[in-house]
Order: sequence, then C-alpha cells, then structure tokens
Amino acid sequence: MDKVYSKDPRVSSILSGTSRLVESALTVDYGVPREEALRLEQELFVWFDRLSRRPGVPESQRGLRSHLISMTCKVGHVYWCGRIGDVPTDERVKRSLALGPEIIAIELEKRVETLEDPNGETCPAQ
Amino acid sequence: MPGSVIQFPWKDGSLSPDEARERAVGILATPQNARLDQSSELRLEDPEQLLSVCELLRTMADVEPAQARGEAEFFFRFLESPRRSIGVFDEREYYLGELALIAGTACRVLAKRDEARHWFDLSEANFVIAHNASAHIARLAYQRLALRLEEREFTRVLQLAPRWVECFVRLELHEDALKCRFLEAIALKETERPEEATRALEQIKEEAKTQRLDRLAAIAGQNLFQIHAFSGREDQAIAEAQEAAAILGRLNNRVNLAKLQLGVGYLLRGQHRLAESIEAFRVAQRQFSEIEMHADVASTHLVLADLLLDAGQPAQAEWEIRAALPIIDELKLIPEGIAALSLLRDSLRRREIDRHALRNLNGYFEDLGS
Repeated sequence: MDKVYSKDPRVSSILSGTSRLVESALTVDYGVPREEALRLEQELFVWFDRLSRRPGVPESQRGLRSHLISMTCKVGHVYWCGRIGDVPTDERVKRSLALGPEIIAIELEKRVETLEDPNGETCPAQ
Repeated sequence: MPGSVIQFPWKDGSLSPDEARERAVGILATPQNARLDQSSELRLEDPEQLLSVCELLRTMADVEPAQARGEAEFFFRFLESPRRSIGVFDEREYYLGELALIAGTACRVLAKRDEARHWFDLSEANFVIAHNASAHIARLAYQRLALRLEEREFTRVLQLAPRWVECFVRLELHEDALKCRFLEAIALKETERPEEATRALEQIKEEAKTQRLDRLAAIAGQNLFQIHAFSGREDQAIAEAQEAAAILGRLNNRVNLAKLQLGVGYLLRGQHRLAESIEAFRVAQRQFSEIEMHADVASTHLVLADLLLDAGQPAQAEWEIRAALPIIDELKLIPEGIAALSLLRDSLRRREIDRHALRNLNGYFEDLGS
C-alpha cells in the first residue's frame, strides 16, 4: 500500500488512489525507466499538491484528479521529446507518442473510472 | 511501486505550507531592496513560498491595493529577469501569470486602467503556456469584464457576463461564476433596472453565504444597501449596511468598507440630513485617500461639491471641483466624461458652476464594488 503525505485529505486521497496508475502510465505507456519514473512521480505529486492550492482548480475530486493524470501524460511525452535521436522501440510507447498526451490522458481517466465503477455507472461529481 | 513510501519533500528540508506562509509574511515585511540582497537566504524562488506570497497579495489587494500592486510587480520582475527556473513543470509560467493578474487587479481597483490592461496582457502571455490555461484565461476574462463595467460599457457586460458564467460553471469554478453574475447585477443596477438588480444581488448573496464566500456576500449586501438607500427603503438599507460592515470589518476589507461609507453619505443625503451627509462623504474620502484610491477621492469631491451647492456654499463647492479636476485629468478616467469635464471647466472659468455638467461627470464615477 502506497503512502502519500499531504495536509489536504482530498489531495491525499487522490494521490493514494492514483499512484499506481501514474507509475504504470510513466513506465508502461511511456516506457520511462523505473528509477526515472520514481523521480518524476515524486515531482508530479509535489506539483499536484501545490496545484490543488492554486485558484482556478475544479472543486470536485474527479475534476482535480484529471489534472494529475493530464500532467503525468505531458511529462511522459516530454520525456521522449527531450531524448533527441532516441526512438522508442516498444509499440505501446510508440502509440502513446503518436496519439499525444491529451488522448492518453482520456484513456487513463476511463481506466480509473472503470476501476472505481466496474459496472460503468456514472460517477457523480463530488 | 507497491510497498514503497512516497514522502513529501518538506520531510527532508523543503518548506511545508505552514512554514512557507510564515516566511512569506516575513518577506513582505522586508523592504524590497533588502530582499534582493538576501534573495538566497529568503529563498525568494521557492515555489511553496511563492504560492503563499500570491495568496497574501490577493488579500492585500482589498486592504492596500497600491501596496499589493507594488509587491506583485516586484515578484513578477524578480522571476522574469534574469530568467529564473521556478519549481517544476509549469510553475514559472503560472506564478508569472498569477502575479501579473494580481498587479492588474490592483491597478483596476486604483483606476489605473491602461496599466491594468498591460498587466492583464502580461498575465495572458504566461497563463496561456501554463497548465489549466483555460481556467486561468477565464479568470483573466473576469477581470477584463470588470474593467469594462468600470468604463461603463454596460451593454457589453450584459452580453458577455452570462457566457462567462456558463464557462465558469463548466470549469467547476463556482465562486468565479458567482462573481461574474455579480458584474451582470451591477450592470443591471446601472442601467436603471433596480428590481432585476435587487433580485440578482439577493440571489448572489444567498448563494455566497451557502458557499461560505463571506467577502462576496458582504459586497452583494453593500450593493443592496445602495439600491435600498437610493429607493428610500431606509430600514432595509440600514440592515444590509450593518450586516456587510460586520463582515468587511472582520476581513479588514478597506476598499469595500470605504465604498460602504460612501453609501452612508448617500443614505443621509436621501434623508435631507445635509451636514451629516457631508461629514459621511468626507470620512469616505479620507478612507479612499488612505488606500490611494484617487479616482474615488475625485468622485467624492464632485459629490461634495453638489451637496455644498445645495447647502448654499458655492465657494467651497468650487474648491471641491478644482481639487477633483487634476486627478480626473491625470488618470484620464472616462472618455465620455471628458465632455462634461470641459463644460465644467468653462463654467468654473465663468465663476458659475453648471450643476448639470457636475452631475453628468459624477455619474461616470459610480463605484463598482467588486
């Protein structure tokens, strides 16, 4: 069980509920090496904790969570953009880069929602 | 990463939100020059601390807008040049956008409208490349709409405000949606639709209370107070004023407390209590002057001039007008007011005050209250 620390229970709840997804997105969807993924994950969580205290963030847990997922995909995408001449060989990573972070973020959100609500019922905004 | 422990950095030396807030208060108490000399000890680039600085400056804009403007500019310039790397991911762009937005908002309150527009442009140029850009651009649109309201573009405000309300609702930014509805309500008030304005303000006040948005509830109350006062509903006016004053006093919201005091002057004028009304306006004027709201100081000079003419004191009235004219000129306040201004100048030259021109000009200074 992962442990995350934030003073805001809403943020803590999102981080503990999505840490596996974030890790899997970075390592599997974007093929980031595990050690690097761990460092990025930590940066993502610190950034997200501060983001949650900015004005202009949605009030619902679901809306707020979408920002973490979206930034995770942007970070995974930028990881490869920064590696000039280094082309991924993994088909899944190639697909992620071809579709772009916005589409992958939508897929990941659907994955979380399916995990939360396997019967496919609409999750009300909190 | 099953079984692993992800610790937040403040566990190993970085600032916690509470520490950052405490340090941010200390930084704002340090003179700006001294801050630059001690920038590394003060950790001016720390993103957690910058988050607290922004929060403090947003509150400061309601208390001392001129100081908030100066501080927001200081931090904006510090982050911008030389180019500093701030935090992770989009944090540099976000803080630049937010600080420019705060500086622009404070300029708007101070009626420095060209400067406000410049800061809003700077804010946009940074927000557009930050994460959650759509929400920040919408927040910026609210400020631009408020500026249009202050420039008395009521038709435009009535056209645009409902569209932005819808955007804010879809973005789940309910407080911002309520603030936009507030602009619409004020535009209704200014376009001679007091019943619709009253209904809208009452709804806003109730919703703000439900959402525990005390500041917004109090400002809605302050505007209801003005409508009731102008309509001669004294008991309702006083009840609204008392309720709003208690909240604004607790929040030390000096900008809106001064506007509330102005409303007291109007209420007393409506009751034909001339001397007390003049005194109430003078108190409001002093309050505006203390927080450098020069446009409001000028507008109060014009109201006082009108009252002094009623009181049969034309020499004093002329003095009040003469005191207002340089401020109006300097701030280039309202284009439509220029005609009235030149008319008033002519009449002063002839040593005969034109009441119609005076009232026309004063009409352009009606306060916004948001």
